[in-house]
Amino acid sequence: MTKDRVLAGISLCLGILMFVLTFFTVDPTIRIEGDPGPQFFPYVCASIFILFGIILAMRKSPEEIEKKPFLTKIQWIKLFSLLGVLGIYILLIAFAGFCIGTCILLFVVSSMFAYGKNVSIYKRGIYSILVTVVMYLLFRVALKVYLRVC
Amino acid sequence: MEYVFSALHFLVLPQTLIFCLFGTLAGLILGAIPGLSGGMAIIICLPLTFGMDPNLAIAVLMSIYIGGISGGYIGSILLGIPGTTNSIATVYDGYEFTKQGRPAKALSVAATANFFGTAPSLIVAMFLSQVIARWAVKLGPAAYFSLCLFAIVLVISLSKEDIAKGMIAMALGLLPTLIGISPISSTKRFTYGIIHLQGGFSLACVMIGLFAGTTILIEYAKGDRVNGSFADVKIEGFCLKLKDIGHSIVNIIRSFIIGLFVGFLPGMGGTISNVTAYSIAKNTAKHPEEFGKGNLDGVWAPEVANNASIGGAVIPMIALGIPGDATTALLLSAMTIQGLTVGPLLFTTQTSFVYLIFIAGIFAAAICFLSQIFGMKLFPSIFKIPYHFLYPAILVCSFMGAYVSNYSYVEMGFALIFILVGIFMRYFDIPSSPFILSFVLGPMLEKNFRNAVSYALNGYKVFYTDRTAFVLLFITFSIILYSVLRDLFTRKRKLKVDTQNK
Repeated sequence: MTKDRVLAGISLCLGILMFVLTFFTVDPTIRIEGDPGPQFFPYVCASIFILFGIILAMRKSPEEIEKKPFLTKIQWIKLFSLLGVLGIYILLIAFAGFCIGTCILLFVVSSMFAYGKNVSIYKRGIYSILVTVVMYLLFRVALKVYLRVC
Repeated sequence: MEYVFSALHFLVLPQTLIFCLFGTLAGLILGAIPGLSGGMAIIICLPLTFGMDPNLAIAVLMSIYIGGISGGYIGSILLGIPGTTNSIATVYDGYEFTKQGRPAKALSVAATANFFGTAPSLIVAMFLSQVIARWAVKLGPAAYFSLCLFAIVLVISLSKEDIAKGMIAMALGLLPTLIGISPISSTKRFTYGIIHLQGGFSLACVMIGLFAGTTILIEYAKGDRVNGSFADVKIEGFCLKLKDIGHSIVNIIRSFIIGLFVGFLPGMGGTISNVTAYSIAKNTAKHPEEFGKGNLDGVWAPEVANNASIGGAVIPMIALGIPGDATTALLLSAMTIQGLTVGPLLFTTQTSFVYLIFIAGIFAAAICFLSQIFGMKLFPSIFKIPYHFLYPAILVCSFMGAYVSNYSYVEMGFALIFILVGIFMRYFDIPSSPFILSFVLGPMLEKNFRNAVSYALNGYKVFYTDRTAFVLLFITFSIILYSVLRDLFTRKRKLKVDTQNK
């Protein structure tokens, strides 16, 4: 199954889901005479998904030449591991505060990027602390954004 | 003239100068590094401007915008890898100069070309925008809706061959705008009691997730980055002579016009104009065989054109409230966030602000030019910044930017969701420009459509009776139909060729 067919399937499902959700959950009450109502545009959006999903599904594509995959299995693991780290970062700064969360994230992510290179742990540590301080000064002092420190 | 002087007076204040200088440098550096871009600099800095004075915010963002477009040539010339798609064609001749050990000449030409493209194009835009705005004020909601739809479809048809994926990108961009409180009737849609969804998604978290976050995550996963050792070239400094300009004056003027016109068309901009200008310069040259071997005209043409497209892109942004490309979409959103009502009335209601945009752009072009002249020797150092230190800092800045947009950690979670959307779009080759335009114009599309139908005595027939709306809609649907049929026939032909080859 080609990527286009998979996308077509996703587009069709999304369109049908939107139709169903709009029909059952969006209040169709029209407050101004002549107004198409708040359901109109969701239906339009759903129709675009369905129509062009069908076009994508029905068109015949030339045989896909053996192309380099978007990402290899290991690359996908790396990507989702960094995504997971970012998710943990959000929880860290929500519960542990900006300084601790940011310092840990910077150290972990710079270590991830530097994996395989000879970057000393001290350099990464100093970098993490320094950038955290700079970010704190930028946001808290210069831009007066409230940040929970710890 | 009073507005021009008022803008200049604001721009020469020490605080403004410092911020504009930093903005220009940030745009230049991020525009130079392959994989990043000036657009990313705007995405990261956009939330930082929320707390600023609107005038200062737009001056900074214009500085970043111009620095970003200008910076792309540095990678093209020194590494043979364009920093942004705006400088693809600069590689062909620019990198040859580096191979021949004379990068300073190409860098000097490109830096001057940037200024020659940007400043006059913004002056032209200043006058043309007024003319177009006067026409646009007469447009009713039906015509305005049609114009917005036309702009989005034009982007789809011009940017990629695949109309189906382009339309899916448009629908994907509309989807987040439908979540929250609907315009006109203030009905809650798709919020399901979640209070954080009532305000919809902020532009910052969408852009940060879709572009900054996705780019960095994919860069990390792929792991192939520019090797800093290429940047061991020595640069003597700025070395342009007047005769170098004199020899190429016709090329410069022609490339300027190409850039201005192409930049005006939604979805085109610097990416198309630099390649077009280079091709035309080569085809009209007395010795086209010299192109690709270190010809100064091959550096003048793309760099003048891509910077002239700045003025072209700003015209619809100011006059119509319709962004010409992804970066002007961000600038437009920044103006909305600062409390300005974008559209044709901006000229009459906020005249001083409009002039500030143009003058700030010209000012930024001058700062950019001077920075490049004096900082040219430091260009190779840009590529020595270790990625394991640069990218984590950008990630933190981006996520903090998402937080600042609504002072909520939930926004950071939304940014993470949009990173997944960005990866999904890259995996399936779904173009991003229609997504951005739909996301930015979506609320305007719905509001104008519903207003048009409810104000009109003849309901939906207003799209037929309003001549401007009818013509624009006719062209829009013709473009869609033509693109679908063209795509169908191209594929049938490819299939036939494949079958014959077998």
